[in-house]
Amino acid sequence: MRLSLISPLSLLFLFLSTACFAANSDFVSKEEKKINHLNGVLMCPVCPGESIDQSQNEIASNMRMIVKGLVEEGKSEDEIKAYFVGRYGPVILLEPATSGISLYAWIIPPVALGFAIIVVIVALGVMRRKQKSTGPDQPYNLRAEAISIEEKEKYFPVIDRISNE
Amino acid sequence: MVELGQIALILSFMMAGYSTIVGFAGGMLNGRDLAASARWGFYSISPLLLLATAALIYAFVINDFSVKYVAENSNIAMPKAYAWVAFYSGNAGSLLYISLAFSIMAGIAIRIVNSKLPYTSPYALGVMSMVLLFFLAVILFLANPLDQHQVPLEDGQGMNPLLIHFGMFIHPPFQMLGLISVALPFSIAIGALLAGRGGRDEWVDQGRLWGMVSWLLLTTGLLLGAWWAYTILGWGGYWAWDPVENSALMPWLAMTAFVHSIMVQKRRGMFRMWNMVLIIVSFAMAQMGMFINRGGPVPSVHSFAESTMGWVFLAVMAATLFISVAIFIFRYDTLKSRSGLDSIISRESAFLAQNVLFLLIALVTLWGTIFPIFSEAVDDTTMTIGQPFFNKVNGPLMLLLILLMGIGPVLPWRKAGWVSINKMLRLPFVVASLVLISSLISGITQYWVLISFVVCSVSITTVCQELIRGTRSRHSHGENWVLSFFSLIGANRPRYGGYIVHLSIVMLAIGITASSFYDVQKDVVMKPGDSEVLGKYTFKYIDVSEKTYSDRMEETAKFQVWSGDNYIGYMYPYRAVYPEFQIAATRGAIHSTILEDFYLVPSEFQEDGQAVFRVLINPLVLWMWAAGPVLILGTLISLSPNNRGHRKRVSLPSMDVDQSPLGRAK
Repeated sequence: MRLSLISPLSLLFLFLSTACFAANSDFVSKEEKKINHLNGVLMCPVCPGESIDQSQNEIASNMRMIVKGLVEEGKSEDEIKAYFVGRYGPVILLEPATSGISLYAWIIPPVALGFAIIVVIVALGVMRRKQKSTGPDQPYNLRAEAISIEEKEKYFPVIDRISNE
Repeated sequence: MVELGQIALILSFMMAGYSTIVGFAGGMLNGRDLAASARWGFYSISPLLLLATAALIYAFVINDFSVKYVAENSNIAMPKAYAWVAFYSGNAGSLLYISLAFSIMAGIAIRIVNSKLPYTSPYALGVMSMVLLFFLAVILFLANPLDQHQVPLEDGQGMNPLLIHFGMFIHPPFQMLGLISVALPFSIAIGALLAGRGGRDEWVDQGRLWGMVSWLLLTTGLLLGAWWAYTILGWGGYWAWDPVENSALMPWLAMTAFVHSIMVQKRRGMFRMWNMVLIIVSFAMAQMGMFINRGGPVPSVHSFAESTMGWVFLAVMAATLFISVAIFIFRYDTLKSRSGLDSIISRESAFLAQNVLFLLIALVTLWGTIFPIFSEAVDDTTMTIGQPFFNKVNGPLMLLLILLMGIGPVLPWRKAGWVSINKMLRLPFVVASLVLISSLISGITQYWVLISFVVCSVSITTVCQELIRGTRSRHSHGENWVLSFFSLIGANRPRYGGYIVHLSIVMLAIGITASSFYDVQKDVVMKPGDSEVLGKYTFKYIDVSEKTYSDRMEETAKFQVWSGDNYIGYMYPYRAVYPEFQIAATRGAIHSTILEDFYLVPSEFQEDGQAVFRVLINPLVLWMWAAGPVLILGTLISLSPNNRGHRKRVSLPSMDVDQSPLGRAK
């Protein structure tokens, strides 16, 4: 069984990863990648929420030309962003800055993750302690390894149902 | 006909009011006749709304531009089949669509709930009627699709051309249905709480059933939306973290947590409070979605134009949340868990971690969506939070979920021994290592892609391992392989249906990972006769043909395309310009293979015969669309009633139905 599973699964992934590899090779120049990236982080000013990469609007297509021009002039990513911020304000960036009040946008998610982990641990601890203090509340609290997993899966729901009455 | 529709609307509003009051009264006074009367009152609403809908659609068909809504959303040139789309493409009409669809679904739900949960049913009906009452009130007092002008107009303004598309027939109806259907499990849960029966696990089966129906509708809506954006909107992407997309994703996330966590209550009698919290949060998020959609404060491409009624939705959301929490606190003592946790390492814990993670993603999404309002209020800084932010923040959290999806199902209920965990996770670990090595060898260096492929392979392997293990054990009892596979799935449909859904999620994840990190995009300027090469694809621009229609001018480019030495054929991307709306719509031409999509889309046609095309190679996108049917199949398997199981347990006393005189009320 082992081998019968390992080989097709790994082959599948090998297959999938070569697909990425094929596309990965440098079909587009570094500059084009930079242009595409910038198009993705600049907002089209008249079509809220859409990037200029996404929008069909004329302004978006003009902005794409400007981006292309600036990249070809050899401007850095930050300079180009600054250029558009200068013209339209920080609204034009789809990604908030990592300074000032915008910093909170970035900080809160990881803080929330940490908080969530603590909540889960505390909640599990409380539920666990409750079980310990009240003792095994079910007469069929068999030792974990006494019966196999399959058997447990099979019988416990039935016992659960009866004991629920 | 219009007048008839108006009368039907007013009558349905009154009936919804009646069912609300009488439903709650029936519950509180324990009156079976009252409850039955409220129920029949509720059943009468859908025919009435059907009549109103028929009146509106008829007005579209006969071009009755005296009706304001018809004049705003159609014109003489519109194909008649789009009368149905025009029906829900505007604000007022979509409210009518939602009411109609909800009245039908809730009618079916309450009929089933009534036979299973007679005590809960009158309250649940009361809550459903209240939801409907709200929508009908908004229709009648704020946005009536049947309102008429004094003088009929010559011609209508027409529908937004971006909406004249086949996708409009499927994506919006599913999405709206999904959002409103969250109200069904919500009503059942709140009904059980009000009836004082939230702590009994009797509402769980119905809550799960309608929760999963709602989840399926939401998922289908989201996938169809992504598919539509990809094939039509012509920018080569499928998800943009637009505020309205986010607000459809948030209830989906919360509902996903709910349909998992409800299983813990079903199996173990735990998480009783938690399930209530989850369903309340889900419904609040669905309402949040409607708020943002209807002229909320965040600009979005999806919004209904010029509608300030979003604030009404926000107020009602706040009220719903407040009242639900009050009921929850009031009935808090009925919701104690039957048992505690046997071990920290158990499936229960995995479920809890999964739930919290889903909620976290939903909250982070909410945070990003509303942060611009927050920053403007606090600091006077206007800003935009879009795709790059959400990708960076939510991407890693979602990968964590996929890892949990691989580990969770192999942990047994109650308590896991290290020996058994070790045994179950050995194979996934081996496969994951092989995948890591093969990915590295084939030149994948982006570490997010490596992590994603590793966690996906863990998930796939555990699911396959479970399926093979079960099939083998049945096979060893003498059944043939195919039969044992199907009888395995049939024997525990919620579980194996769930595994199939997990497989589809892995397919989605692989598609999303590959197409986000390894897509190739290039803008090329070509004139007829030019050939260009991107990767292994060679494409030759033959010519462009123009065609003028009553409402638009279409420019269709003709390409010949080769992949390596293989001739693929012609591809026809086009661009349509709608002069009246000053809108251009492009449609890409896609050549899909199992490995990658070759995508051609015109950006602009210039005067001098040159044209700008955007050419993309998107790897593994087909896997995302293939995941949709697999997901639906898995969900349906897991929803289908487990007859076999019932027959086995026929000698056990049933706990689903409380035996009461009211219980037999019909």
